[in-house]
Amino acid sequence: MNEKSFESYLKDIEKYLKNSSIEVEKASMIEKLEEIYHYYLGRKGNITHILRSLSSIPEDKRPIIGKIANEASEQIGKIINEKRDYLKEKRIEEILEEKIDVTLPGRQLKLGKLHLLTKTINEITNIFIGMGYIVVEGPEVELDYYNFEALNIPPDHPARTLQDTLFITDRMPLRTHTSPVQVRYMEKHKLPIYLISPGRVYRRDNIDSTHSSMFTQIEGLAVDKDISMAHLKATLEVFAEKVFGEGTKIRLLPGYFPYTEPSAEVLVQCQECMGKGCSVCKRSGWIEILGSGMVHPHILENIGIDSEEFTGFAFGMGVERIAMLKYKINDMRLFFENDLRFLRQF
Amino acid sequence: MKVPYKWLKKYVDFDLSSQELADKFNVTGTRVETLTFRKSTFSDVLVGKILKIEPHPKSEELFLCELDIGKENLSIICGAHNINEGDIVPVAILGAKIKNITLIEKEIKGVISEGMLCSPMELDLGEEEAGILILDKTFEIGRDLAEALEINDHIYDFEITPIRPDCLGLIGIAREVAAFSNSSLKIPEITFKETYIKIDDIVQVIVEDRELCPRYSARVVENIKMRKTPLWLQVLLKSIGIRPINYLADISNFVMWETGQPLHVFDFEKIGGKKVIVRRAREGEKILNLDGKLRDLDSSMLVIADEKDPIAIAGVMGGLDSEVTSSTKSILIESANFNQANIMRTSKKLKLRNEASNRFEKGLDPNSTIFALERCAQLITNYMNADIISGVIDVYHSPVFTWNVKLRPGRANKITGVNISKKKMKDILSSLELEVKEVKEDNEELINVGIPTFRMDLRKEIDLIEEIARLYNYDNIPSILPIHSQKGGLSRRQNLIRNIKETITSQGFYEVWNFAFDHPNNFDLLCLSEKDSLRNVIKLQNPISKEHTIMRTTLISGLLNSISTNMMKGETSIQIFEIAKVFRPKEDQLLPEEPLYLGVAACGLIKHTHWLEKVEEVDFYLLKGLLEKICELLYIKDLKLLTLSHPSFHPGKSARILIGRRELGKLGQIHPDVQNNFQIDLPVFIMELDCNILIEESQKQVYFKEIIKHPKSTIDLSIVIDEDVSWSQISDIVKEVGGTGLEELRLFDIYRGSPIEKDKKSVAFKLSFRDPEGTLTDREVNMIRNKIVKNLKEKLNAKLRE
Repeated sequence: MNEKSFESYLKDIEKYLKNSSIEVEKASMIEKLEEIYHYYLGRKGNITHILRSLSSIPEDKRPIIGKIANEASEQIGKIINEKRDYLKEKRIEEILEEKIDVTLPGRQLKLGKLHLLTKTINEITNIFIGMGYIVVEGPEVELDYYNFEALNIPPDHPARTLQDTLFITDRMPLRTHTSPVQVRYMEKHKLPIYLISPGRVYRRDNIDSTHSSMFTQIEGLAVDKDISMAHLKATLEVFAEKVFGEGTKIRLLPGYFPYTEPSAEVLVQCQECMGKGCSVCKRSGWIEILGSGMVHPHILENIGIDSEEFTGFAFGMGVERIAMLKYKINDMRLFFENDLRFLRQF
Repeated sequence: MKVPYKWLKKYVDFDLSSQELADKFNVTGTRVETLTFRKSTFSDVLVGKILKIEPHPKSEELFLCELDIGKENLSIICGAHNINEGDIVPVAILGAKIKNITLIEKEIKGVISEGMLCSPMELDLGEEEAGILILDKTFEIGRDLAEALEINDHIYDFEITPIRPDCLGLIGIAREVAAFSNSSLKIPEITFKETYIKIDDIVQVIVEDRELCPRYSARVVENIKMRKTPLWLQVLLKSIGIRPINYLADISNFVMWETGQPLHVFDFEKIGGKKVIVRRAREGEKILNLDGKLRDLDSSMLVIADEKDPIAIAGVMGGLDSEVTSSTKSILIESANFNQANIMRTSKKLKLRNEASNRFEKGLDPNSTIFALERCAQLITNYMNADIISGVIDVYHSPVFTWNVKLRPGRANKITGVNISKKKMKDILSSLELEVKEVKEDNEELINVGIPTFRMDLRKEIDLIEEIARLYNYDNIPSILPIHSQKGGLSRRQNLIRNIKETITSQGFYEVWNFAFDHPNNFDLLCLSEKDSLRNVIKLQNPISKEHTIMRTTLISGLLNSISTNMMKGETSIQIFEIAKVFRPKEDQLLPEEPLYLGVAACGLIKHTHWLEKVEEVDFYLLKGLLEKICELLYIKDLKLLTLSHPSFHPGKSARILIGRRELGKLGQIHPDVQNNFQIDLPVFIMELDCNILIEESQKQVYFKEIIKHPKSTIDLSIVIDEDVSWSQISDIVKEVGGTGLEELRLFDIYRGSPIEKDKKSVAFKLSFRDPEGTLTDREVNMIRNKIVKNLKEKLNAKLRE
């Protein structure tokens, strides 16, 4: 190679120019063009090689070969670039011929939905699981003892007139709340206990927009050393903020339940007017969402728990009510009608 | 319990607006359900005195009256005949509004009338149409009538909890106000004169059942001159929701509202033998009540009887025969205390609840009978000039006295989570009229609290802690999260149920919630035989409707109803599921079994019509596919489907589902008859599984299997085989012969018809092999293939399709 003559260089360059032009002409893919570029102008390409071996030719011829080689390099580069642009454009044109209507409906991948009650139960349950609670379930046909007596509601207690009960037999009601689950659990397990009990409950209520003979409840119970109303309040604040959004305020007002003392009705800021007062909250800015209180010492003692050492709080809420407030649903019957137009919404 | 604001002011001194007061009530636990403003239907009607009545100069029907309305005299034309000079009457002055009509100056036959005298009807103060309302002399002349009658007022409607019957009386509510507003209670003073006749000489009261009637107090009043109920009382009764009846009934209702103690007034002359006997009813006895209904009594019920017959159902309702009427001359007022449980049972049994029974069933203070009785006697003589017979009959064998409850201030603070000072606690308790004394016991400083009998609910220390907490105000309790840690979280079972639900929804099914009740008729619609075990149900004793009389034993009827209603609403693709309990009586056990079931139903199109996709209808294999996915989720392997014989299912298109040897449930097309019974036009496919078995059979733990890096070899096989050979027969052989190297077996075609002969079908499937030891050669694959073909030929008479 070293001894190559000036003429043979010129000839080579001429040959490269000619060949490359034919090859570029023939190339129909950008990948091919890159190959051609590489072959002539790449780091080890033919033209590059000539430029690098100028030292082997006589000094006076060097500028001439250099100039011619540079010109050839430019020329080849130019036709490759032109062809590349051309191919790119052509490719776009070709792809564009395959155009589709992007507004046509997509394929029907199937996805059903959980019922809104399941969704709400899961949501609330998760909040309490996050605070270390367990989830406990129990029978829906209950013994009078667990549904009433163990909860401080003996047969002639005036509270029995508060809730009309559906009975299987005189001593066997359909549970009117999920509290019996808590009594059953406390009987069998060691303290401390932090649990919630979601489930269906039953009342002898005619079905209308705010009542149902079957509905869903979530009750909670915490029994530990030194549990106080302050703990109840903070726990329910966490619940309200998680369900209704950061900054949601709640308020505890004295109430009455046979199984708690002191008892508290819990109100949440009206979701419709955010506390300003509207027709939904009867202008008060607050809506009652759940009942709560400190577990009555009788109940603990009945189960054999030392009510001096251990205290507890309990709360209970209607899942339908929470869902109705949160999603602005105006009729409780929708939950059990199973209309797909309702089920698909959540 | 309704209370007008201005009436509260008469019983307690406080300085709060109606709204402030409502807030205070709510915060301290007396729930104000509503606070409404009641407005009179008239304005600018003043109290006037008729000075002179002269005939109208141009009309014989009309009179010209001169009225004194305080500041001035008016000349008013009137046509009524019941007025006399000196009468006090309501005068509507010019500009007055009566039922939205404004009074303007009028000229009547040449004379100008400067106002109008009003009838009771015009002022909504009575039913009489004719005549002018004559007011009594106590009205101040010139005073605004609406103001004098306190018609414009705020009315509270309280929701009283069952343990606070004392708040079913105005005085009880006033006592709450006194406690939370630090003001003093004003209880009306009672004075009246008695005649010289002694009550013991004219009537005898015998309480036969002391347990059901702890106290019976009574008075007799004679020389009753019935008259109209005074206006103030009419106005009050209307605003508290009690219909005015007659003066005596109205007064006794007023006293019940004021004191919380129900009273009953008997026409004394109708009490046979002048004997009042409080006893249990005799079997077969009947009573005709005030509401005109004849009721059967039994020995569980307490009655008030004369020497012969019951004259009232104690605490529940009086008898018609002894009712006071306009001709009543003398009365016996009963103020008694009855056993709360017995009243509750009686009123439940008779389905009769009213203001009186509602109070008695909550348990009243037996020491409140006398005050109410005396108050009633006082009001009767005040307004009727009647004679009160000397003395009270009071049968009270076991008097109830105040009791003491000890409070540990430390315990109160432990429960409330606040640091309330002992002094503050004492102040709160004293404000409730409790006797408070500090004592020391075993080196512990206690507060000894004496409870007056009107607070029957305060029995234990915890009751006092609640009183302290509510008057201290819950808003002042801080928020502190409990510090604890325990094994929280869902159980494995709960997690699996959630996973199953999510898996099913991920396949396009919507979750439904049906009622847990069912109608026995649905078993007939499901074509179940009379002896079918599903008909062995838990029945409701007191169902709310005919549709909901039993607890369901299957989810199928509910699902079919959901499909039917959705179809009617125009849905064309329905795929739903429900996970819920069914209820089965269990022998030797009180409570029923409540297994958790999964029900799935599909009807109509799998997917809606679509521009790109084929329209397919739901079928058996859709639900089978779902079943396979659920089993995959739970790592259940040996799933088996066997033919099912069930009256609700299509005999040729349904299956029993087994896991190993355990019966998991059933799957198939609903029998066309059942489908018709539920008014569904298209085939319905249903699957019902026992979730408990599903979860028990699920694999708890799986371990990683090494991933084979060698390439797989795939071959297709197409065989012709007898029509009645099942796929499982084929696949069992293929899997057995294929051995561990067979990675996948996929059925991709079943073909019937030419050129395949009749009663035969062509079955094509893809086999993938992979050897953990190395790459399979074509020869090796061919050997397995030939072996499979040979086995299929020998065992199932299959031929390779050319």
